[in-house]
Order: sequence, then structure tokens, then C-alpha cells
Amino acid sequence: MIACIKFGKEQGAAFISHLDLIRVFERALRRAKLPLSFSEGFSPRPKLVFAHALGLGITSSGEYLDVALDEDVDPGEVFFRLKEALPSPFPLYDCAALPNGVTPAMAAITHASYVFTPEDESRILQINSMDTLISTRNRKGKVVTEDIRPHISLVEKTGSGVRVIVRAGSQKNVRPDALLAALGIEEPVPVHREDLYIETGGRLITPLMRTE
Amino acid sequence: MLTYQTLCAKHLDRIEKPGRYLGTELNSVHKGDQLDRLSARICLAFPDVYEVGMSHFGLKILYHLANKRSEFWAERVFAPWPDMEKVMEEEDVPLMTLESSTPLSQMDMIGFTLQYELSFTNILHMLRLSRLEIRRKDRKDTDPLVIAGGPCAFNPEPLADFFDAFVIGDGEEVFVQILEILKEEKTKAGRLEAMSKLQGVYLPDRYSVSYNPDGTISSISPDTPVAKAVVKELRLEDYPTDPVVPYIQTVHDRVNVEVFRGCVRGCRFCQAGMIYRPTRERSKADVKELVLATLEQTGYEEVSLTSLSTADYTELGCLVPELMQVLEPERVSLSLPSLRIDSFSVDIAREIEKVKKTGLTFAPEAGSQRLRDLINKNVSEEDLLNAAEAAFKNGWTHIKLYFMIGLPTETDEDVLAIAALGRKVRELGLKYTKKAAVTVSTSSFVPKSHTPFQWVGQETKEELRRKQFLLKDSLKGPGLNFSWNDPETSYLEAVIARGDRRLGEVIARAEEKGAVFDSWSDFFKPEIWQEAFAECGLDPDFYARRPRDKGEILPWDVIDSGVTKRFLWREWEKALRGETTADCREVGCTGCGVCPGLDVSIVLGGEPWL
Repeated sequence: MIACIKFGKEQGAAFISHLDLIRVFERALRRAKLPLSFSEGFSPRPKLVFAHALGLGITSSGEYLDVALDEDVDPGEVFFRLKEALPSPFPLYDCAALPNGVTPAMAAITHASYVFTPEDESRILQINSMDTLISTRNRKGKVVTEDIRPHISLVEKTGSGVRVIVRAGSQKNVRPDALLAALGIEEPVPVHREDLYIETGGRLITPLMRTE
Repeated sequence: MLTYQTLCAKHLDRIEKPGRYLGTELNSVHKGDQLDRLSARICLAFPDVYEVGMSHFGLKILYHLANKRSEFWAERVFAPWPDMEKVMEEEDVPLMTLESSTPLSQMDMIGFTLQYELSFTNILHMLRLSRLEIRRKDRKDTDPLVIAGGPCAFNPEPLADFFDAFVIGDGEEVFVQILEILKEEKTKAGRLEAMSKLQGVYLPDRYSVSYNPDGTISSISPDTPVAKAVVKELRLEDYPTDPVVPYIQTVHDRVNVEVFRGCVRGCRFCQAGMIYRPTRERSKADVKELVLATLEQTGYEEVSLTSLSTADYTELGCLVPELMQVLEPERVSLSLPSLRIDSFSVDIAREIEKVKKTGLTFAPEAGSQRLRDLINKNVSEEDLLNAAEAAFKNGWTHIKLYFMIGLPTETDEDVLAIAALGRKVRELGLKYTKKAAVTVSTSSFVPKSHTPFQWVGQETKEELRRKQFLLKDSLKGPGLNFSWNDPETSYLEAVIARGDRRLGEVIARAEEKGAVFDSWSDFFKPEIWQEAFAECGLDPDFYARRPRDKGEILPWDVIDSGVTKRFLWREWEKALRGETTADCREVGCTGCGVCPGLDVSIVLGGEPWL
């Protein structure tokens, strides 16, 4: 089976890079004594797929990880064993048992929701009144410009800051730092990822709800 | 209050690896909510970057010994990388502990580990960043005790001006005694007085040294050396089965179980082989228990059985298959840091590579039989060729050979013998695989204190370089690789390794001039050191290059490692005659002096031997 795990990264974990995060989970899963599936080859590794890499310094309450298991384990059991084993800055929220062969979260993700908490919220809220938002970046020495406005689905004020839902994943991806840069915001702005979504049949579901 | 985490958040774009500073790693110990119940707070300091320091097992043992006692809290600190140092300077933040971001100056005690000479400037630098005075005499009674331990404490003299105390030898028991003293005594003077009564504690201010006009030592007063602390056996409960598991990749990121301490093979260049005597093995059952318990609490995917010569572990032949039976289904790999040159070691290597393929390294140390006899490396060319053949036969295609250049009495013929040996091994490999490759890796010999070579002068840098080129030219060709190190750093190492108290001023000046991370080639600046020596009126050649007489008072005579000076001199004479000394486990006592002198004995498989 595939155990899909929803976890978070609190302040202390936000500085753990994606590569290091893989190691943290490999070791936590070993401590949790789950029947992990391993890759073949000279250096076998547990089969883990993270849904969508998170930039350094960003906290999150919506990260997903697919873990391949050799035997079926009750998802509640996976949850409790892993919760025990994870270091404290990595809260665990949920776990679902998915069938083998389910589309990996990494390939399925289409949207991400971020909350920005800048000093001046209007600078992000102004996106709602913009028709275009031009992002400029360097790609292999060439300057590439792109209008990212069509990939921003929602900008709204929330209790803690400004929520922005953008396209994310392998097809089209708007990074929070690219969004801030396009707005001309240079100073560091705290960013939190709320959740990741898959658009299916006109609505957004989380990776835990995948069925195929 | 600015913590490491807030500094990382604020300056994320400038800090290359924030994972070094988080202090929240798995199994890290936090007692911030029980401060009123603590009798003493200490900081364990490793004077190098996090990835290096966290690979050091001694630190983890001391962390465990202190933190398992509810009335003490030991935190960690490492040398901040220059990016973080810059940020701390700009934000006006002193050096802080990782766990709680508490300034080091608020600790009861700071304990540095001395693993290599080229980390010494980092110690002074870390004291400076802590806003503590570097020199002992300038620090206040209310400042923390600043102490040090580790192999380099066996010649503490170059650092005598800076530390309140040195701990010599095995730390397990004396460290706990020191903690108890911190609890009982509340003044610095009282604490030091109590510590002075412990075996293995050296207080540099209680000794005075005078010099002859030629710069050699005329007397050390009092002339009663400090005997090292030694544990009779490696106890299960002193070993941390829940070591801190780093977030970021460190140099050695795995379960380390020390299968034995001390080595009695008697290689004459090897300081560790002299100062950690006698051999004390854990029982096979203890090793297995520790491996499994640590895996449970860390989740590591690799286990290393460490020691100075793990193939010598008495029960290795049964231990490895028994461990593999448990580890293989869990895809946990086993590694042995040092292989002996024989086919038994190749068999063991075959057994452990079931999970993960690894390279093979053999260390003949010298190219000619004459020199191997001189250094007492009891290995013949035939042994090496047999081991290499066994390796190629079993599917290895690449073998690494490790040698030293600049050993006493070495001639060009001895150097060229290294190349010849490398070629022979490769040719042997070609019989089994077209891909056969050999890497010859060399380092420059550094004479160390407390060894039979403590009296010899190091070769000149020019001569070492010439020999490297000689070797490089004769190791050209397909399937042959050659690597070497910079003789400049080996020279400084040789100066400090056998330095006296006067070097303290040189180290302090070098640090003031910006010497830091000297063991990192990108940072090492020999010209800074040259200036520092010149300003202090000291000649580095006096320390590195000068042969000493038998009767000379040596700076490290203040420390008694248990191995007698008489034995070391006898070994030096035998070396010159080309005579070897066998392992005492094979031929009986060879008279090094440790067992009777310190009332200890060799422990094999957990049981006293003889």
C-alpha cells in the first residue's frame, strides 16, 4: 500500500532543506518500524515521494509524503507510530491508506495555498486589481519574462495575513519568492504554506483524497 | 532576545546551512523548563564546523553522561561558519549554545575537545566570540571554567595560557567527577582545588617551566607528572544509545559503536596507539545490544564498528555475520573504518557489502619492507598482495592504498617502493578485471609526542614536496591515481604537536591576525603564522625540525600516559636497528609500562586477559 502522510514544518524545521528533509523522514520511518519498501541496487533506499518541495525558510501546515509499504498497515497505526518518531518541529496531521499505483502526489499537485504576512498587506492585495503581473527571471543566462497573473487563482485577506492560491506542481508552478519579486517586494516576508491541492472535476481536493 | 532561529529567519539569504544552528535535532536535550533544578550548566565545544564536530563520538558520550543526570544540563556549540559569524557580529550577538541560545559566558564550565592541532586558533576565536578573555589570567572569578580534553591534551603546553584545566585520558569517569565538583563547589578556586586531586586533571598554572639559553627546557616544577585517567573497562551505561541525530549531512552520520579502545600493535608513529593503551574490548553481546538499541533510537541506515583497528577485535569473525543477519533485512549497512591487510579482512568486507557496496582501503603506511619494519607495521609485501588478490577475486575493482612520506631515515628508494607497490597491486588486479584501479594516497609524517618518534625532526617542506613529485612522476599511467596533502599544514601540525608554553603567544597572535579554520585549505594562511612566529622571536624549525637528545626535558613530560619514556626510547633504538616489536597479546608483555603503572589490564571480549 501507499501511506499518504500529511505533516507540517514549524519554525525550527523551516530551515531544513528538501534533501535533509528526506533523510529526516527516512530515519523517522525506520524508528517507527513500518514495513518499508526499498529500492533495488547498490544502495537501497526507502521509497518516498514528497508532494512538492518547500523553499527554505517557509513554514507549512500542508506537506504530503507518499510512503510505499510492503504490507498493509492500518493508517491510524501508521499515524501514531510515526507521530512518536518524528522530531518535534514536524507536526503530523493525518494519514490515509492509498492503493498501490495511485498517481504520485508529486505528479498530481496543481495548486498551493500560501499565507504571506508582510508589514504592508496592501502590496499583495493589490494583485486583485491587476490584469497582469510580470515575473522576470534568469534562465541559463537568458532573461525570461512571464505573466504569472493567470496562475494566481485567489488573493484574500485572512486573520493572519494574505492568502494567495497559485498554480503549483509539475505543469505550472508559481514560487512565493517569485511572486514577491514580481511585486517588487525586496525585504523578507514571512510565508506559510497552508496546503497543497489537486484540481479534479472542477474542485480542489487534498492528496489524501486521491483515489486513482 | 535573538536566538539562532531568529537570526536564521532574518538573514536566511546569507546563511548557507541554517541546519547547523537549530539545536532541535532528534535526541537533543532541552532542560529550559527545569532551570531552577539544575546544579550546573555546561557547554561542550568542538572547535570546528558542525558537520565535523557532530561526527565526533567523544562529544556524544559526554553529552549523554551529563544530561542523564537531572541536575546538569550540557549543551553544544561549534565554530560558527564565517557567514553566521558575520551575522552575529552585525547583530551584536555573542557566541551561544545551540540548544537554548544562551551566551557561553553564562555557563559554569565550557569544555573544548582537542582533536587536532590545527583547530587551536578556532578555540581562541570561539572564546573571543563568547566575549571571554582568551588568557586564563585575564578571566574573572565569575567567568566560566574553561577546560579541555582529547588526544591533543597529551601535550597541553601550547595551550597552557588559555585553559584553567586539562583532562587527560579517558573521560567517562573523571568527567562525572568534575560535574560533581561543579555541584559541590561554587567558586572557581574551590572547583579547581577539588579538581586538582583527581587523576587525569592537569592545572597548568600549578607548573612552571624554565628554559636553557638554547631554548630547550631546563626544568619543570614540580617534576611530578599528571597520570592520565583510565577506565578499566568500557561500560554499557556510559554509552549513548540515543545520540543527537543531525538534520544535515555530517562527515560520519551513522551509528558508531566503539568495539574497543586502545591498540597494542605498537606502530611507532601512532600517537593514538600509545596514549589509549591498554586494549579494552566490549563483549560481543554488549556490542550487539548497543547497535540494536541505537538503531531503535536514531533510525540510522548505517552502523560503524569503530576502534583503532577493528579487524583486531577478537570476536569479529562471529560478530559480523550475527549482526548482518539482523541488519540485512532492515537494509542497514555495516562499515568498518579500518581493515587489516589480510584475507580475513577481505572476507569480512565481503560479508558487510551485502547491503551497500563500499570501497576498500589498505594502509601499508610505507613502501619498503625496511621502512615498514622501522615503523613496526608488521605487514609484508606478500600480505598486501594476498589481500589485494582476494579483493579483486571477490569483485572489487578499485583499491586505495595509504602511505606516509617523510618517515625517519626514508630514502628515495623507499619512496619509489610506494609506486612499485601500487603498480604491482594494479597488475595483480588486471588478472581479474580490466577496470582494476589503484589510488595511492599519501600524507606527510608528523612526529607526535608520547611516541617512539617524539625525538625526531620532521623533514623539510621542500624535501617532502620533492618526494611527492618523485612519486607523482612514477605513478603515471592508466588505472593509477595519486593524491597527497600540503606539507605546509603538516609542518604547522608538527610545530604545535611538540610545542611548549611559549607557543601560546604565537597561537594567540595568529588568531588575532585572522587565522581560523586552519585545517581547511581554503582558509589556511601560512604567512600569518610566519608573521606570528617572527613577532614572538620563535623559530618554528626549533619545534618541527630539530632532533631531540635522549636526556632532553620534553614539554609533555608533565603528562604521564602510562607508557614509559624508557620504553619509547627503546622502541626508537629498535626502529633504527630494523627490529620489530610484536603485539603483546601474541608474545606476552613487551614492557610498555601501562598495565602495572596504571593498575589496568587488557580486556578481551569483555573479560580481563591474563
